Amino acid sequence: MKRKLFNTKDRRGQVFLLLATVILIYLILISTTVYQITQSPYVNPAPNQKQLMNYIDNSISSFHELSEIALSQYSQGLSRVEIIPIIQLGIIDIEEYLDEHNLPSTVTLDEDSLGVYNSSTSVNPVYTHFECNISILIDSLDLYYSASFSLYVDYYMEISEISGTANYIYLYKIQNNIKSLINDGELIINPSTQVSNLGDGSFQADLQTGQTIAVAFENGILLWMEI
Amino acid sequence: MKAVLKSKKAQLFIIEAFIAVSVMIIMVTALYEVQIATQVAPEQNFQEDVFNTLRALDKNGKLDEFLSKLNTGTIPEISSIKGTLKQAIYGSLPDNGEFVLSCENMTSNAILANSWINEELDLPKEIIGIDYLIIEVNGEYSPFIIHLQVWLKGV
Repeated sequence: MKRKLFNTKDRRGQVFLLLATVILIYLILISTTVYQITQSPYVNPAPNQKQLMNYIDNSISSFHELSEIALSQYSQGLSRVEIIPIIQLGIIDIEEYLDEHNLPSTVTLDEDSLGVYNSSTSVNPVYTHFECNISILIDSLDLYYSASFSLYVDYYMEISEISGTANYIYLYKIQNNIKSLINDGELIINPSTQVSNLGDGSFQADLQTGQTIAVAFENGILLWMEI
Repeated sequence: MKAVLKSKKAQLFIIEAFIAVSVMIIMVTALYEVQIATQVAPEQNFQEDVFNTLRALDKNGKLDEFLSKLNTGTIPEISSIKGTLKQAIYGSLPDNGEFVLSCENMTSNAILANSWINEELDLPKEIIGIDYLIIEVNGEYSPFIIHLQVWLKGV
């Protein structure tokens, strides 16, 4: 069979060789093109799980933003019952955002778990607290994701033991066990006294018993302390 | 096969075909090598870097500042925060990277007219779309989506 096929005296052999050559050239061209396409930065193996996970990550960070909204609104006088609809609105937005990226989702707020309160203003440190449980379920062809989150966030104002004229006020927040120092709080001490921002979450001031300290954080969260 | 080898014409034809195929392979390989040498190597996963930059800008309060300045800021203040965002996003892109940014209010589904960065650029055929959700601005419920269109020039 091979003899006949490669026999160039025979027309069939010639045609076979010609065809083989053409097919080989086409194969080389196709493989080169495919290689170039796969090397393009715009082409990712579909579905791009990393990109989808970024959208989920963004949604989770939005849950934390909802905590900040709750505390800020609570500082401005809204009650727990008035805060719940705002959180629900945020959840609808998060679902819509995920849906727009082919991640149909169901986000559920456990209303019973939602708590928001302030500590006593006369006990050092003073804090404001928010907590809730949120669950998320994404069931799409590209990705299945199911998780529950317990969100905790506390904003604190703490003072050092008062002795002499150099005392310290510390501002920080603890979000899901992660402590962050806060430098941009605005302090108002009454009766007034000089305050120096030390830039590491601490402020130096000459504190006296009987003074009150109010702090406004950048996101509108407020705290008071009676010394 | 013996018959083929005995025939001079056939031998010549096979040699010619072999040379032709070899030349083709060499040409295609050479072309590809030249392309690799002259093109900027496309950086993989730069969209991941851009996303991380947006996340960092969000954590540092820069996106909040951007959105609140769009509402209440003066033109120099808006230009200044746009400059900060531009610098950060270009920093996460390869040298030949370009982007267009706009901001959509989720409540009205409208793009904020003064939110555009690099609006004047012509979008190429292929772009990468990255969206970033913001729910809270300065403690208030304000849902926005930052739309980013990214591409590499000359790729």
